[in-house]
Amino acid sequence: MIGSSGIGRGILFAGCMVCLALTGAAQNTGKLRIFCEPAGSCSYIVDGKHRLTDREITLMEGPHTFVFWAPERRMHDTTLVVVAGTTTEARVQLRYSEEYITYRHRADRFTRNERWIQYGPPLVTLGAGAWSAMSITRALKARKDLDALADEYNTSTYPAGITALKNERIPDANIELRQARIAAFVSSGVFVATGAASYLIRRHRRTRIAPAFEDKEKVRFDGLVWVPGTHSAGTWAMGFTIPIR
Amino acid sequence: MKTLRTYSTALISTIALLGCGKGELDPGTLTNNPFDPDYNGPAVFELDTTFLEVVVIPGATLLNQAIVFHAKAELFLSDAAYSVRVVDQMNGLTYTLDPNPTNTDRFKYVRSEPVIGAPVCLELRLFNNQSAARAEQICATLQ
Repeated sequence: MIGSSGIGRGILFAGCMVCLALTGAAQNTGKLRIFCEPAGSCSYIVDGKHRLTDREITLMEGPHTFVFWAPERRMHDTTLVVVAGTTTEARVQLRYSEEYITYRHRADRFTRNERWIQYGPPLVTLGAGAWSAMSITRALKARKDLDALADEYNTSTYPAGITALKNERIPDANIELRQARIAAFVSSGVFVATGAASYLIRRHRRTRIAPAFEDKEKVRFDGLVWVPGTHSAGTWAMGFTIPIR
Repeated sequence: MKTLRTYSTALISTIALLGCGKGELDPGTLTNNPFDPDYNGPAVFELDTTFLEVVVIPGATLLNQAIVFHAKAELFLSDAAYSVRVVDQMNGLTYTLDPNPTNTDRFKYVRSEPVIGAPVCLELRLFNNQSAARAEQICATLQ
């Protein structure tokens, strides 16, 4: 059993080195310095056996297979050649996995929709409410103006003024009242509709589930080798793909 | 949420008020103001009397016919100051009369050619700011 991951990896690696030294004492070693992007979260498996995160390792000369991986990134298989007695630099840049890109798109869309759902309907309802309030105020004012014109008819002693009142001002005020009433009814209807829609959208929002990212590349990567864990434990994961087509 | 509910209640009340409230004002129904040219209520002017008026001026004595009438102030919808436009239908001349005595509803039309035994008809209109109301006619016969 191997202890914490660091110690485990060290003992494992030392063991490998001892084995290699015993079996191939005649062979020379070289160093490999790995610059992996994203730095800090890169892991790799050497020759299908050892999972490491070290930036610099010493290996027997010759070609070695490497599988690089980092969270949210695609695995990258490559062969690096170690030259005896020298330090070889290898630069690896891992690309985002397809699953992560799809997840990112879905998460962005979800966030965008969430923002719209959170602020859009209340704003629209608020706008409709303001429009409705203004329309109702306008209708009430039109009604008041018409009442004032009726009062003016009763108090006026100016015949030409009365004629203008009846032929122009009252018909104009009637038109204004008609339009204001229609606007008040329409805007109030819109307000009620947007309020109801807002409420329903708000209810629907509670049931929405944010997209979760499942790092399938990690499962595949973990399946390539035994992974030492904490508390003297470890896991052996395996991943496989069944092509349907 | 409470604000929304309050606003909704106010909205429904206002809409109901707007819907059930008074509608448009039909100008055709407004005919009860005597100053309205379309006034169709009872007669505004009423003849009081007509008589011969003797006017003495240095060197001559004139006989005029006075026709006294009044406007029925009770028909007015509010207090009003006004004049009366008179068209003497016998000679076609037009005059504007102010109340006589002032601040009353009484008017006196004086014509310089008295007509005895035959009616003298006047077309009368309430008159204000250079515009006249409905025309009415009164006739007076000097005996």
